[in-house]
Parts: sequence; structure tokens; C-alpha cells
Amino acid sequence: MKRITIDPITRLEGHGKIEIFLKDNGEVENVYFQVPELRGFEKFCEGRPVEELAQIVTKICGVCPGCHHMASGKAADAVYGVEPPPTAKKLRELFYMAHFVHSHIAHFYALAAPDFVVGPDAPASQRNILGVINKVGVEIGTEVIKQRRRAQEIQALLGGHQTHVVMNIPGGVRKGLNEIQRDDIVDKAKGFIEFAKFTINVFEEMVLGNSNYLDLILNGPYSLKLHSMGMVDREEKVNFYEGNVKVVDTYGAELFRYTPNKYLDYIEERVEKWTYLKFPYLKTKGWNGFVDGNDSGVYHATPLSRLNAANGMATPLAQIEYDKMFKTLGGKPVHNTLAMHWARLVELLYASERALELATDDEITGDELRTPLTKIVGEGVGIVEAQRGTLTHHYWTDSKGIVTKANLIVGTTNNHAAICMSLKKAAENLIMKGEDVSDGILNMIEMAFRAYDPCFSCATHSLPGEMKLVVEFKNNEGKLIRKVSRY
Amino acid sequence: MLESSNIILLGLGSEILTDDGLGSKIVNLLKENPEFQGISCNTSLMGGLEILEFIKDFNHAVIIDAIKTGQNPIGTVLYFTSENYIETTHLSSIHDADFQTMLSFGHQLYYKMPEKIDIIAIEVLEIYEFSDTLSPELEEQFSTIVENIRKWIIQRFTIPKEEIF
Repeated sequence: MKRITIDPITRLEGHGKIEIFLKDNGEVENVYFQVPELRGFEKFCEGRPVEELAQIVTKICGVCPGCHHMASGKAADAVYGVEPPPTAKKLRELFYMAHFVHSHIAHFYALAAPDFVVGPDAPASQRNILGVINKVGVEIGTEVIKQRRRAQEIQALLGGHQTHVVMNIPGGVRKGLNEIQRDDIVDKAKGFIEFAKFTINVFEEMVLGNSNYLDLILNGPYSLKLHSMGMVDREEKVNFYEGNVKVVDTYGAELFRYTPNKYLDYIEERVEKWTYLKFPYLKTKGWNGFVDGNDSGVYHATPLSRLNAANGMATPLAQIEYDKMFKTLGGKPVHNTLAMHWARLVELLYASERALELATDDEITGDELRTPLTKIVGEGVGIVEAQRGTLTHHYWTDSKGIVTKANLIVGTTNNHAAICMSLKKAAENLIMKGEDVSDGILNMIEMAFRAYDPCFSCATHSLPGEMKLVVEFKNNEGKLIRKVSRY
Repeated sequence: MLESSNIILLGLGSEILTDDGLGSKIVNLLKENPEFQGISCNTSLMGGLEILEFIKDFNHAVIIDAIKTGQNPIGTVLYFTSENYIETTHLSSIHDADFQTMLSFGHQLYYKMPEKIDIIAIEVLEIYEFSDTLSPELEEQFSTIVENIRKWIIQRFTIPKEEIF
């Protein structure tokens, strides 16, 4: 048996390792996706006033600080049994839409597009954002930076800081928005919409317009039949900030839905001894191993699963793109892992449109920013859709609001089992017995996890290590017989 | 006092991860120093493209970050440029671009990029544990490290000025 190790894998946040075990005849025997760092954030929360957590969690990692801030803020609301006033909720959601715009733009142009716009088997030196800009034009690179910056500016304005957000307090937000600031955000949101439309056109022309890439999405080794999770509003539309979490099975039929405080009735976490990251699964299905299909307990919580679980998008242009995506891919639910990239762009358009809706809402400049605190419940759950999946913060406190226990299920953690399975399937289909494992093949295996946009800094609460990639081939005795370094 | 709107001093790292945020701590301290009132000071958790946003349009960037090589005594201050640096904890982001790609990207977009970039790296002990204080070995040397970096920056930007730009 040979053993291939990809450590650490590239173009994701955090440190992960892929180990591929080969049989003596060269076929793939098994694949392990390991996250070696110890998760420790929950313990760090203990003993802190619950209102501090929303500020602390933004400092774990710079990739999705706004998601943790929102989930934490909502959990703190629940601990105090308060509902923020409409203006405060809308300000939070507006901030959050800017956060989504910023993140989804970065993922497409810096992480996903190199595989499609430049090519999955292009030389590694060209498979990056520089290669993308060479293909799509310098002016687009300028727009990428401009729109990202504008999204950051909105976050900084509403959040107090673009990364170290200090916006949420139990029952509301710290500050409001004036008319001049609102006008500026309206202008920026209009720009987001145009850029999102442009980006979808790039995807359609350069990815869907390329029969090889379309074939890779539809028929490549990147498909798993998994249950789909996503938050929906009262009209069953995708919502990132508020709603019920809905799960549909592999045929698209609703399995269940839950309000945030009921998540433990439906989600269980499993521990495997070979990784620190847990494996959440559907309690109603039980853990039946790393298998797909309708009897499996494995689900995914991704842009694609959100679109699968919902009945549509809440904004008009995103709804058109939603319909187009499902029509092209053969109807709901879609199980093609690489379609996550397309779904992410539909979400980019939705977040842009929603930002404009909120910025033009009369209540957004209101001055009722906080509901006074009058009691303490002592336990609260906050759930939002993070860019990388459904994010749950659950806090328990004493009668003074000091945290006694915390539990987090982070976006990427939801997808841990699915990522392992996607990697195995890709490796099984791409590594041919007797043939050399090329850099291009390894990149195509990495594409299986990259679609999930994983962020292990949050999931395990470590920080990224060095950017290097080592592939080790080991025989069945564990002896190193070949080593390839990509750094 | 340093007087230049064309210098950015950027500290990197998270201040709640023990020594990880040493660069941010140092910049936050230096920016309170009257000598540094004339230059731009900022901090960031992230490297990669985030750095581009901070340094573009400046003539000179000084980036301060933690480094963990295990090959130098804790507290050792290393001085690099963008031509001869080794990876520090936050210069690159696995989530978008490494440091060199970020610089190339800035040039590719015809941004006004700094003509000179100094990277000050401090050998640290612990970057994964949650703590808002430095490890004892580093805490002991902290004021000396800050003072050495302060002197280095003052010297870099005051003598002789025509060599800087």
C-alpha cells in the first residue's frame, strides 16, 4: 500500500492535511482529511461576560469575523431574552450583506477562478489571481479590489472596524446610520449589483461556455448525494441573517426544520480519533459512516445546499440566476460539488441586491437602536448562515451573564465529512493505477475541497501555517518512497 | 518627529493569541509616540491581499510581524526587505494570495506600490494559544524590542532623507 500526503493543502484558510492510501496495485484504498490543530475557543469563552464574546470572536481569524460577530450577537440577545428593534436588525443585516459581498468576491477571483479561468491543470505558477487577471483583464482586477474595499468600508462604518467588529450589543447595535452615510452605501450597493452581474457573466462565458469545464461540473468526479442544509425565511427563500434552518434530503424533500434553540434535537457531533475537527451529522438519520445517499446522516451546509434547501431567492435578479442554475444542472437538488461555485455567485448577487434593499429602507436611519435588558435567561443560541455554512453559537451563563459553557458549530465543521468523501471520490477517479500522480492531478483533487471554501482557522481555531505543500508516497509499511514539494 | 505622509507602518497579528499579535502590539504602542505622529500606522489580522489595501499609494511600507522559525532566540529582531524576506506569520494569506503574489498583483493593476518595503520580524514562542498577554520570555524583552525597533525606524527615515525616497 502506498500513502500520499498533501500537507498542508493550498488555497484554504488554516492547516489541513490530505492522506491518500493506495493499494499495491495503485488504486485508491482510502482518503483521510485531517485537521491537526486542537480546537479550543469554547474553553476560552468561559468566565467572560457574554456581551464581550461578540468582540472577542472576531479576533480568531480575519476571514469571516463578521459571521461570528453576528452569531455571537444573536446568541447574546437570546441569553438576555431580547429582540433587537427593527432598525438594529436591519443595520446588522446590512453589515452582513457587505461581509458576504467581500468574501464571495475574494473566493471567486482568488481561489475558485484559477482552476477554471486559468485551468485545473495549468502550471501552478499561473494558477492564481495573477493568472486570472491576465485572462480577464487588468480593469477587472481593479474592480475586484475596488468592490472588496467598498464592502470593507461599509463594514467599517457600521461595525466600527472592518475586522475587529464592535457593532452588536445584547438587544441591538451601538450606533446608527445618518442620511449621508446611507446615500454612500446605496451608491456602493448599486456597484455591487453591477459587479455581481458581471462576475456571473464571466462564469457563464469562461466556465459554462467551455464544454470541458461544464462536463467537469456535470460528469466529473465531484458529485455526492448529500442532504442539504440552509436557513430560510417565512417565504422559504434563502436568508443569511435570520430564519429557520431547513434540511432537505437527497431527493429534495424536507426532512425537518428547526429554530436556533432546537439545533441539538437535530444535529449530533461525532469524533474520530484521527482528526481534531468533529463530524456533525443528522440525528434523525444517525451516523452510518462516510457514505452518501438518502440513508446517510452526512449533510452539507454550503451555498449550494442553501439553494437546494430553499424555494428561491428573495431578490429578483438572484431569483433569475437561481432558476437558470437549476435548469442548466437538471433541476433540484443539485449534487455536483463544483456547482457550489455557481451557487456562491448567485448568493453574491442576492447579497448585493439585499444590501440595496436595506440601505433604501426607511427604517435603516431610525434611532431606536437597542431594546433595554430587563432579565436574563441564562442560555441562548444564535445561528446565521456564514459564507462557509450554517454557523451556530450556543452560550450558557450564570445569573450575572458570565459564560459557563459555550458550544460552536462552525460553517466548515458541518462539511467535514462531506469534504472527506469528496476528496476520496476525486482521488479514486483521478489517480489511475500505474500512472504518475502529477501536479495537475493533485490540484484537481484539491478542487474537491476548495469548492467548499473551507476555513479551518475558525473550525479548529488555529491560525494558518506556512504556505507549502508536501506530497508523500509511502508503501504499505509506511516507508517514504517518494516526496514532492510544492514550495 | 517623523514627518511623512508617504510612510505606512503596519503591524500584523491577533492580540488574543499570545505572541501572534506582537506586530500589532508594537505598532499600537509606537503610534502613541509623538515621534510617529507624522506617519500612518495601522494593524491587520490578515496578510495577502489585505496588505495591498494598506500599503498601496505609500512610498515606503514597514511591516512588523511575528515569526516562528525555532532557529533564533526568542525576541530576536530580524530585518528584511521585500527582496530578501522569509515568510513571517501573516505576510501571506492562504485564503487569497501570498506576499509576492500580492505585490505582483498590485503592480499588475498599475497601483502606486511602495518603492521600498521593510519587514521587521520578531522571533516568538507561542502563536496558537489563546491569551491576551505575551509569553513570559517575550514579555520580559518587550520594552527593549520596541525601543530597538523605534530607533531603527527613526534612523531609517531621518538619515539621510534623500536616500529614503
